[in-house]
Amino acid sequence: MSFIQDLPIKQKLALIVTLTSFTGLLVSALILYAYDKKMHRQEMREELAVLGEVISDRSTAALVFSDPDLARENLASLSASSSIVAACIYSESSTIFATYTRGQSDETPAGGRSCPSEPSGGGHRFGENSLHLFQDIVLDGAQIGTIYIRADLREINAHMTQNLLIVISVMFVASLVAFLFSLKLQGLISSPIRHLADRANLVATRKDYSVRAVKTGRDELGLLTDRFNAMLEQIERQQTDRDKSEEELRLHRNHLEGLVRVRTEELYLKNKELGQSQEALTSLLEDVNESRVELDEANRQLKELDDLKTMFIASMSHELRTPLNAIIGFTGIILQGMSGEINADQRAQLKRVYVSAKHLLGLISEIIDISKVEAGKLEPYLQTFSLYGVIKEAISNLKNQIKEKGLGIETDIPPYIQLKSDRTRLLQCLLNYLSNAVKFTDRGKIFIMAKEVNNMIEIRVKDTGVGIQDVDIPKLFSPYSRIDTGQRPRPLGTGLGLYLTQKLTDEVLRGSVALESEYGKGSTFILKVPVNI
Amino acid sequence: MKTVLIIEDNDDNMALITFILEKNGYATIMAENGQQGMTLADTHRPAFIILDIQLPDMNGLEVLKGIRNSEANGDIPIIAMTSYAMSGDKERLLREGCNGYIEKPIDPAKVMDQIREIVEK
Repeated sequence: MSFIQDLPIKQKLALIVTLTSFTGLLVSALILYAYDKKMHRQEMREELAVLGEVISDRSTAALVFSDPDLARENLASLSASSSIVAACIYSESSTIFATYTRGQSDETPAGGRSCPSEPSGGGHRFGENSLHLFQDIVLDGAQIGTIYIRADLREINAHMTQNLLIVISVMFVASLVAFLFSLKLQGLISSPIRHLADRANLVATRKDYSVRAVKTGRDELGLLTDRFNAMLEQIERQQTDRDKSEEELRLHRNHLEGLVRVRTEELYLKNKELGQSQEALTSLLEDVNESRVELDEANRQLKELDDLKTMFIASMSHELRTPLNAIIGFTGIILQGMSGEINADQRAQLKRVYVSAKHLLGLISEIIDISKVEAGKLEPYLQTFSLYGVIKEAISNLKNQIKEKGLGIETDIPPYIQLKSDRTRLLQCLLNYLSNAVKFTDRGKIFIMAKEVNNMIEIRVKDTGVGIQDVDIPKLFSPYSRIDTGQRPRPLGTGLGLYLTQKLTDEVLRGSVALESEYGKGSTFILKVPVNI
Repeated sequence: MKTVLIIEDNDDNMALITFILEKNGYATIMAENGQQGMTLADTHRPAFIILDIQLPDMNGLEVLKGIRNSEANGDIPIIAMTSYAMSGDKERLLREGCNGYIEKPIDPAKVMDQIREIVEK
């Protein structure tokens, strides 16, 4: 069957149609032929049976009266039927009683003899070209003889053969017509398929997904065409999308390439700049190295200067103070009268020497302290001590001056507060505040008050002195600034006391200074230091 | 008469303190450096010693330790005398066995009271 499968659809369709028609016709023809043959034979048999009946009825008398001529006459009536070729009547003893033969035709292949020599049972029997009938002749229920009739079938057979030929001819003609029709009509099926195949081929070779197949009808082929078109549409859409993506990708790639090119150029330029920068840097480094050498030299010189300064401070401390200590000491001895009596003028003059020397000593001490604070060489020496004790010590140190000026002194200090701080420096600051208060207060009293607020000690030294004008307040803590209070004689001072106090408070005691003042009524100097540094 | 050993390198200061002490009835022995001071302390066993902290040959603290470490003189009262003491100097001296501390310049009117207070304490 494989050769059929390889045939083009066109031929397949023609073949199928032709074969189908032919087979249908063949089956119909065969059935018709068989039916026709059967009908003819039955007709023949019935006719023969009727003839047999008629002849046997007529022949009873002949047999009863043993009249063969009568029997022969009866048989001769069979000549009316052209198909009867021979007949005979057998007697009761199965011997031939009378015969009939049509013309010379009894010499037929039916048997060589016109009749069989004796009857062989009842009923009919078909031979090759003839029909044989044996029929009993019965009279009053008893068999008195047998009748035999033979019909020639050749005419019928020839007729049948003719019919068959006609049918076969018709069959072939019909098949041919069917074949021609199928050739004409197969296009209904094959051409849409061919069309689809061509389109598919076109799509495959040209990669053109915009091609569409033409729909010819609403049958399965139409459906197939629709599906095919839908498929193409989908492919085309995907293709379009892909093309779009590819285009985007291409643009993106181009952009990237451009970007890379630009960046590469930038990088090249940067590299070049870097090279230049490196050269610049190298020369700069050389410069820096030179500068460093110079700087090292400058540093060395600076250190020498610093050492010199430290030495100078140390010698100020010792070499300047030692002779001053002698001057103050001996002046003091003479003023005490330990070396004998001196007159009032001498006493007054010596007193000036004594006070000046003490002032000079104080000045030197303050300069040394300031130098050390500014050089960062003063570290707090921490001790735990009583706030009350240190304030009392400050007052005690100045009690002679307070007494001399006739000033009152009042305190409000909690007696239990313990500080962890630098006692010597705190005392120094308190002495400064208190000596200022004494110096600038001519009448009234000095009030010292202390309290603890948020781990800070606030000490206030309030006086009823000259007070300070607002414009002068900012100058007060600057070095070497002295304010003319209008007091005569001018109170002695170095102009460094408050500056030093502020420096010590800020940098050694880790606190702060403040000032409140009302001109003409008095001032309050405030010192705030942490309870625990 | 009570004897006082004065260890002081400066002539003026030495003259000043000896004058005051002698006026107040003390005998004085003078040492102009630390080594001499320690030797004289051993040989004379003074009633007390006045020690200048800034000496040419050795630090006053070392002299103080030297005298305190000597078995014979371990208990002699020593009064330190110095100008311009830094924070903590006084405390260090007291911790090393100094009995008291007088700051220069000395006040002739007060110095004997200061000395007596320290020695009799």
